[in-house]
Amino acid sequence: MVADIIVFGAIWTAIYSMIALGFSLIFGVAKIMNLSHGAFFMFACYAAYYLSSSGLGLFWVALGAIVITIILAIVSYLGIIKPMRNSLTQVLILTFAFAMFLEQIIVITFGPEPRYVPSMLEGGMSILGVRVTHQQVLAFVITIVLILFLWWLLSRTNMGRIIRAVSQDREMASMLGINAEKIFIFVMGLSGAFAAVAGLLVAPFLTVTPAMGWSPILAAFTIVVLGGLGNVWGTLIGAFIVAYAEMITSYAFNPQLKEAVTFTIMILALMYRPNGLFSKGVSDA
Amino acid sequence: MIKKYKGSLGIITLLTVTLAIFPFINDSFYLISILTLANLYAVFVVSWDIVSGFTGKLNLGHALFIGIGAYSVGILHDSLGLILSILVGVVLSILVAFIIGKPTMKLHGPFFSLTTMVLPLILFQLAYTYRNLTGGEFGLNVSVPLSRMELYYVTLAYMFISVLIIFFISRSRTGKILLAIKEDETACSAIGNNVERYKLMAFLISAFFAGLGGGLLALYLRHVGPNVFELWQSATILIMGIVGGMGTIIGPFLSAYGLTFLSEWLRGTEEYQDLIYAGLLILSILILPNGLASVGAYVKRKFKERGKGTDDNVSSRELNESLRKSESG
Amino acid sequence: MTMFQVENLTKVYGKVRAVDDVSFSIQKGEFVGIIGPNGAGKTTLFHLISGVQPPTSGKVILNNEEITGKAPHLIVQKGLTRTFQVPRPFQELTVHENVEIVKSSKLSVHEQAKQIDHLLQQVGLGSRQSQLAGSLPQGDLRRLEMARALATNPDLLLLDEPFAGLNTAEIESLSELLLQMHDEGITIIIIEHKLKALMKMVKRVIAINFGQLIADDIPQEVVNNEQVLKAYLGDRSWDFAYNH
Repeated sequence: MVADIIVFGAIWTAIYSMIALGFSLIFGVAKIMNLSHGAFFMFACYAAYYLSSSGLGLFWVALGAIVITIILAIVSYLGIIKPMRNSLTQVLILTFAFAMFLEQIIVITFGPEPRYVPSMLEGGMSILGVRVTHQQVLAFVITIVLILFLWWLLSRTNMGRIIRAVSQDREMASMLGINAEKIFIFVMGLSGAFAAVAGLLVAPFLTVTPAMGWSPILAAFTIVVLGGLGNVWGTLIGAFIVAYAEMITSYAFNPQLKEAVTFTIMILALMYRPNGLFSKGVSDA
Repeated sequence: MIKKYKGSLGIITLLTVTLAIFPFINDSFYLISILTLANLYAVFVVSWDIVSGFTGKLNLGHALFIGIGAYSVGILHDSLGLILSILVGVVLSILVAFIIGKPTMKLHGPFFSLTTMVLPLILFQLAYTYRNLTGGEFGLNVSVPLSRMELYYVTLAYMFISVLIIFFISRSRTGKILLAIKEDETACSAIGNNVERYKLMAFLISAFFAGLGGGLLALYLRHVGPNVFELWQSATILIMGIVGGMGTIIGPFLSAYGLTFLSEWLRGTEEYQDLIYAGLLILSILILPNGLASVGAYVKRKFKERGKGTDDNVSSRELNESLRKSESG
Repeated sequence: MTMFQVENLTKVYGKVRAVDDVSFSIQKGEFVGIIGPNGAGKTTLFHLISGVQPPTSGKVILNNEEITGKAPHLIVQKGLTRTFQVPRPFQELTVHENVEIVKSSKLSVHEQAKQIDHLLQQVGLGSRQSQLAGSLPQGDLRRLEMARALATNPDLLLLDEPFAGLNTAEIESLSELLLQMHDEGITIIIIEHKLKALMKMVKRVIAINFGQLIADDIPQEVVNNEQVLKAYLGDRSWDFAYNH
């Protein structure tokens, strides 16, 4: 059991980091709290399901699902978030409603019953005596690669510097000739892409249902609370804590309780470590 | 101001009296049962508004308290009796509101909204899991010693008293402080108000009325299932509040009655119902961010401006807005 | 009698020392000006004193009681009130309601309600009581801020650039109001760029630059102080404001 916790905790740390990074990025840069982030994740799973059931090859399924989700993210930004972006409350309501909307579109199209997405890789292997599928190993490896990519993008490229400038002071950045709007669209697309990749990688070992997008939001938010917004390393630490807490709960107690445990962690973090959150200049505006 | 106050009070009283007389004119089982539900929703929405519309802390999961109230009745009414089980629900609601409100309401940003959104989803799952207690997906039956008509009058009385109390709070000095908190927390505390206490108090009041209503909802449904915690339950309240006009009390109050009938009508569309709800919510925010209550005010202002010609006072408000934006930017 | 004291107050943001080891004390009944170029740390100093932001180190003492880092509303209850650089009225509330929601520790809500009319008359908003604050012109917003601040019954009042955005006539009438408040026994500390108007009112000026206190004296001495002149060199708002 301990070995199970260690191995699956690591896999979920990677996947949660991926979901949480996309979620935290768009908040950090554009101050958009996107409650439909989980719905993007769900949407990508269904896109993968649909494309793979129509007989496309592995590569095209993955590419198609990612591109569709990116388009969805950008369209939702331009169509509903942008007009109301300055009001936190209205963005919350809109993205909440949009998540419900997407969920219902999927219910109507595919029905409420669970679907199964075939694995990209067949077979499995044994790590520390725990049987894991190759798909799970793939999910872990790709996530690590993408997190490194994001870290490189933000800290080593010009685009990353511009993104950080916009996130710190949008007005000042526009004075320097940066089109913040373009950056927001880019980041929104990037955030959608991360949700999509996470969806693609985990769809084969989860049951895909229209409501599957809500619990990642809880995990992502808790991780962000623990690690700090827009902070790549903090997010990894947060994901580590949440993933292992959930795995321990699942294996030692009851898998149905893992969300309650995550929620408890979130409330405790908000109670005792609220100053660790948003530490980048929000309260000192 | 005083005129508007009396107007709203008049509307509430008039509607209550009409509803009280209604069964003598038409005692259709169907209509009475929809109206019973509308009475409950009126309180749910108004109690939601005193937090979301007044303090500006958006509650995305008001179903939380409704569900807690309903399950308390479902689980305890056999052993404790109806009244006591309803009271337990109210106390639990307030307790939960305190636990989540205390740490999250003082934080800037979306913490409060996310917490309220997520908690009902978790309780939904727990209700499934602990089937010994909750009956799992089948839920629990509630035996009610009241006739449909008696229940109708009970909910009507509950509605009238609750809405009046919340209305008076909203128009009192406390209500003004809550509005001031929504506009500018720092400025509000800089004139001596303990903003944390006011926000929390509003949330506890909200939980009180919603928890009580949740208990009554269990009596109305004669059954409690995990779906009391479902998203559409919270979304319905959001739509009613937003379409009616957040922060006005009277707007959400009226739209609760209007939209209960709409959703009854939508019930025929089955699988499209939630889709239409979500779409409505998106459209109403995009088109009418301040709700129907703002339309009346807008028409009135336009009408006045026409007689008055140019209005140089508007500029200071705009100046202020832009200054404040640049300050917080 | 010393009523108010700031001891080694410091606020550090990252590498910037916005307020750097500032100390001074204020006697009861004084009327003190704070000057300094833009970005010198004056407003931050007010934020630290009024509890809007916690200081990194140092002490704030009011009436022999330490109030460092207390919540803003508690500090108000102890008798210290402030206004903001940009007036922050509650736009959705009427003028009367804006004052009505003030919480003073010295008066009950009932007593307070009775003095609102008088206060609004005093600041010259008597005829605009039922107007929404969002519709007031700039000068009246300042008056409203003043009325709200007075309603808390302060012993010490901190004003952050109350003349900003006002025309000459408005400045004059506001100055009169301030002097009148001072005569009624309120101790006042005022940040102001419009030095001509400021020098007419205050008996003592504190100058701040780069977060540090560089002069603390009677107005005539401070404006001739070498360091103060240097601080303002190149800052045209100084000449402009003083000669205007």
